[in-house]
Amino acid sequence: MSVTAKDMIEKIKGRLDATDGASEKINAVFQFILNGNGGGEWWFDLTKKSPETGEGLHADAACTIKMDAGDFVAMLSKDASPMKLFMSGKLKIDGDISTAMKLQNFF
Amino acid sequence: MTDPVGMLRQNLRRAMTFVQEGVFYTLRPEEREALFLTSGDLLKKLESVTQNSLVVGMLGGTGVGKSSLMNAMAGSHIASTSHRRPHTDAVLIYRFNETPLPANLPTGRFPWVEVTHDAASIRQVLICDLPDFDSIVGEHREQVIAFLEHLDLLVWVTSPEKYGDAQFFDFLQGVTKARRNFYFVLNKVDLLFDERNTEAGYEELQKISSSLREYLENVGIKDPDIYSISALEVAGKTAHTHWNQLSLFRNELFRQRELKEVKAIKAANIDKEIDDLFSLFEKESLNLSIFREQINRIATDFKEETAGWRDTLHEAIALWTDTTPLRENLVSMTTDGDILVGPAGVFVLFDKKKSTMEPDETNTASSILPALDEVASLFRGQIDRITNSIAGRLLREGIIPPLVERLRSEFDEHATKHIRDSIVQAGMAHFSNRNRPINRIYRGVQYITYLLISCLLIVSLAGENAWKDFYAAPGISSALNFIVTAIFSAFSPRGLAALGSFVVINIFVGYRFYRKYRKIIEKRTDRLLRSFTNDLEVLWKEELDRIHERLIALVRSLNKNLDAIRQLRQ
Repeated sequence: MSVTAKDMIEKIKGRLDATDGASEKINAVFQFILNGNGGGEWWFDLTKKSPETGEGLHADAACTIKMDAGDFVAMLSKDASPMKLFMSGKLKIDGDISTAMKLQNFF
Repeated sequence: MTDPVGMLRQNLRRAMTFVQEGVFYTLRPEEREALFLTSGDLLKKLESVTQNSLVVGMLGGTGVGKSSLMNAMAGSHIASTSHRRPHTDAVLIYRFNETPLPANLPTGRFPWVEVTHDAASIRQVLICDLPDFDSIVGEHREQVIAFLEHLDLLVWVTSPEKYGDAQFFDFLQGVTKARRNFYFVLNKVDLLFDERNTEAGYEELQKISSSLREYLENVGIKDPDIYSISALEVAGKTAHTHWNQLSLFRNELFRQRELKEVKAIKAANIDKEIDDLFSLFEKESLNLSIFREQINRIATDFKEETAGWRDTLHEAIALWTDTTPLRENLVSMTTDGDILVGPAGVFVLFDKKKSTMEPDETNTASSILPALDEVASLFRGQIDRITNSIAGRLLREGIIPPLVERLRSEFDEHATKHIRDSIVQAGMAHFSNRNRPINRIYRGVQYITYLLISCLLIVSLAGENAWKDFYAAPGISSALNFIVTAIFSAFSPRGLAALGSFVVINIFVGYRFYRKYRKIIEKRTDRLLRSFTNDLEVLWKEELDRIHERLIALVRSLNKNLDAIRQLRQ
């Protein structure tokens, strides 16, 4: 697989940076925990004026999204529907689910 | 990619040949017959996997909103008025007006109502709205289950209120369809959400979907395709909430499929049925391999136990020879005076009165056969003991009774026929009258003895003077004189005394010869019996070897069968 989960994180970061007022709209910290090949931990902090991204675990995450790195890439490439992944238990959300849905606009 | 239909066809053909020609140990003939018929049906079904249309079944319990889902799915394509069932047990079939009903649908066997529509975009799919599975009972239930056989794809509809219904999972378990041809719809999801708190709705949905998945996994369905849908929400609206996957589901179900994909769907279902069919073979295979191990072990142990079995038969035969009337029969049968001469024959006549039979071939057979049958049943008893010990051991080791019975009947069949034949043959060879030796010397001795006694009589009758004359001038005249003197004196008191002694001596000698004769016959009979029992022990050893060989042969044939079953499905 040429596209990695890390590439996708960069892509989201780019979209968040390009959108004015993304932080105000969402106002939360997201934590991604991606398992499997090419997996890792990343967070997006959308509580500040300009969105911040980093590797590792964030202490104040309002919402943690756990899934397989491969599914994550497929989801962001529009090959898999997030709702389908959610219903099949491949996408697990701890914390504020409806806020997580807002983030979808930047996928 | 290889053609799945072709491969299945090959598998089925192989299975059918095996059912026809293979040796089965655990399957009863009627099971074999059924297996053969089912394989034939499946083969026919495979041949019909060329139609480019799919039959989709919608199944669900009461109150899960199946009809509203149907309407929502159909949208404006299908007549949107709610189709009322004339009968709750009827199947509603939605069909595009130019697509004919599949030829193999047994429309005569269940109640159904047809609804034709003109939505050409979904012409490929024939939707069957099945009666609520929990409301149908008895005959109708059987009909619906029989109808499932004709479905290619199955949509199970449930709701947040009903998803835990155990009846649903029980029902699901009995459906022979490829698991990937199942779709699950969690309808009425709108019940979980209210306008202000979507948060709680998602939480609830996550919980329900994970327990639904768990239930499904328990009945063998891994990674089920579950769609969260609210049919109600869609009515009249074009856009719907994010969690409502109706359009996704509709697209998935109604999308145009290539013939190859349709074939794969149908082949997967038939594959599942073939799996069920082959599980019978697997059961057989498992039974056989356990059986084989046990037989193998028994064969090895039996080899070691042979000496013991030989001893038991030896003892049994010794006991038999002590008690059997065969020896007596043989002795009296052969006591026919054939090598006796003179007065000894009179004693034989007394014996003859005891056994009135003439010693010819058939009488020999009829007097010996009962004894030989005794020996045969003695052998049978020993073989039964062996068979019982083997059967008992197999049963203790948990081998299923039909296999043990089969083994036992094979042993029995062999034992009854073959053993008796060889024993009778050996007995006849030993005891038949034909090969009795003729004792010439004994006869000669008798003749000479009687001759001497007769000479003695004549000499004693003629008296001393006549004898002396004859001795002094041997010639015809002196010899005649000698004989005439003897005849004369026969009627004198001295002569009568001599005749009397002659008779007494004859009787005495005759009796001695008779006694001796009896002894000779008894000795001969004993020798015959000894060699017969030796032969019996050889026969028994051969029989034990044969049993061992049969066990080994059984292992070999089991191996062959196991290989054949293994090769059935690669």
